[in-house]
Amino acid sequence: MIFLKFTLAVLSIIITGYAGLRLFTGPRKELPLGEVLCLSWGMGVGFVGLEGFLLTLFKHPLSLGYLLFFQIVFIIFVALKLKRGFCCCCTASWYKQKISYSPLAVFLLVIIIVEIAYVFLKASSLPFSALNWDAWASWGFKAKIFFQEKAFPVQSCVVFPGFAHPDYPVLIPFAEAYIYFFLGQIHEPLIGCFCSFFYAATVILFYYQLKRRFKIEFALGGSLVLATIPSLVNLASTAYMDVPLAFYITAGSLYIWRYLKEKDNFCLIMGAFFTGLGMWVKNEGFGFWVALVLSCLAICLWFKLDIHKKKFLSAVAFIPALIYLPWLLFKCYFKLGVTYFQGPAAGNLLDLIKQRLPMALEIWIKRGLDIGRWNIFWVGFIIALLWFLVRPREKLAWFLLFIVVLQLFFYFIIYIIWPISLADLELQIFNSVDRLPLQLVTLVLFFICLQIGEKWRVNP
Amino acid sequence: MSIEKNFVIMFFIIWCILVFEPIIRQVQETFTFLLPVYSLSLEEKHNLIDGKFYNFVKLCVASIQENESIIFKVIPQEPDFRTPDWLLKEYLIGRLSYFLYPRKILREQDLSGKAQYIMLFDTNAKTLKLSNR
Repeated sequence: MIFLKFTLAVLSIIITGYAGLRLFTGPRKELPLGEVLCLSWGMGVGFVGLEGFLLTLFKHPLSLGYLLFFQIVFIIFVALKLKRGFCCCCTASWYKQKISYSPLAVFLLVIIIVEIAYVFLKASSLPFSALNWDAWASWGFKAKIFFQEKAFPVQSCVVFPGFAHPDYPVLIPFAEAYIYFFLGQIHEPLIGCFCSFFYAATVILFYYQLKRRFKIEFALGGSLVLATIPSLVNLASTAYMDVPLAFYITAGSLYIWRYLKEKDNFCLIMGAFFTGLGMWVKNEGFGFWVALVLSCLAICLWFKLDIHKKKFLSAVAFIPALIYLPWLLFKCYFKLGVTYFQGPAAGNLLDLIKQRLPMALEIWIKRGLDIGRWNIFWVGFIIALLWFLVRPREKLAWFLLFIVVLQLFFYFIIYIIWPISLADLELQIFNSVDRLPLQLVTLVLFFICLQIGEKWRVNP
Repeated sequence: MSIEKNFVIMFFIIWCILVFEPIIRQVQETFTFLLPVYSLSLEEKHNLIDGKFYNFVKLCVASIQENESIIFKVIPQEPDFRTPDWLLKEYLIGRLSYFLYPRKILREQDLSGKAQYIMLFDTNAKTLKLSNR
């Protein structure tokens, strides 16, 4: 029974997301089924999360009835707007396109499915423990509070739990609370299962982005590499928010990339929209938005692009900012500052750089070369990067590279200015060294594929 | 064959070789641990993970009213910062706050005098005890 309720909750999220997607695509847009499902999932989670937040903001006590009511109104509104276009789905291309799978493709597909199934099973087998600390302390706790209080009692989050970091964005905790409302109880293993959908969606979305440009074997090979990165597999079942953020970053950046290649406004809107939702998942999402805007600015200045640059830059800068605005205002109103930086500076900036940067770099490089955690992922990246600098296959790949470099730069800036002792910082770096790069892993892998996949390319 | 194609094939073969062993381990884990655990009830799963601690939580939920506060005190003395005992203490405070919500768990230094219950964590015996103040 509980599993049936969970399935209904997931379906309601996907259907709501689908309605949102149709609103953006219009009646004529054709997309593959898998891509539609992934985008609907991301958008649906965004919808239920923001819906929960806004309802509590307007002092509506949360309940399943209320939450479903607004979703149904939204779905009916979109259905009436698009009429027959609502159901004659985005998937026409899926029926038209006949894909023949070679034995190699089938083999790769089977391994990817095994990995996804393993992550789902592991996530939904056990409740949270000391090993997935942040899953319950930083995120699950808020979801529990929202579910029990049927509101967002800011003071409860600020004062006594002490672990629930009130300044952390609340999109996923509200989405988790939505699942709890459906289930009628707290159920940690199913929240693990809920978070695993982001892992599957990231892999599938990545596959579809690759498949637009490369042969199916190469696209599946790339997706297999992504799906089997040991750090990603380990983290995907823990209900940490790095994997959901990775999903939104993947969608945000790769759709903007697609806009640059295909000049399709739908891709620009999707990219900007998912970037905005990413800012609601983790604070690092804000850094990603800044990196994205700077990167877009850089390529607009550097390359001769056949696009409307003002429209492009405005969309990338303002749509995410607009989506993030309610949370920013909320934080300002309740004075929810970033708790990490509420202390005296740890010293002079130059001294801090000298003291901390070599330590942070050493830990990151050692961990990046650890085969048990990353296989040969970063070795592949370094080789592809050197190759790119010598002979770039796709000059526009600078766009992806800028984002990665800027985001890494932000991470290191935080390490340097963080007002804590060196010993504490070392511990924090060890805690984050596997998680932070995971947020960028699809961008890095896409960059590698662009550089080395020339022989398998089907579309320019 | 071009260098590029060679590189891709080499990279992929090495990747698959290195990933083979973890996948085999995952399949074993699936059949020996995950599938049997999957069929357990939620209660049994919590018992498997947190054991005695979860039973203690249930006792607290049953005996303390929702609007009460509880002081968490460590005996015989506070463990050193970042030691395993300190981490265990932090885990217990955090997890108790989580499980017992909306009951408030206060640290000893937050003592407000309003708490009716006291929870003692003995770092030597690694035991928790609840008593009325």
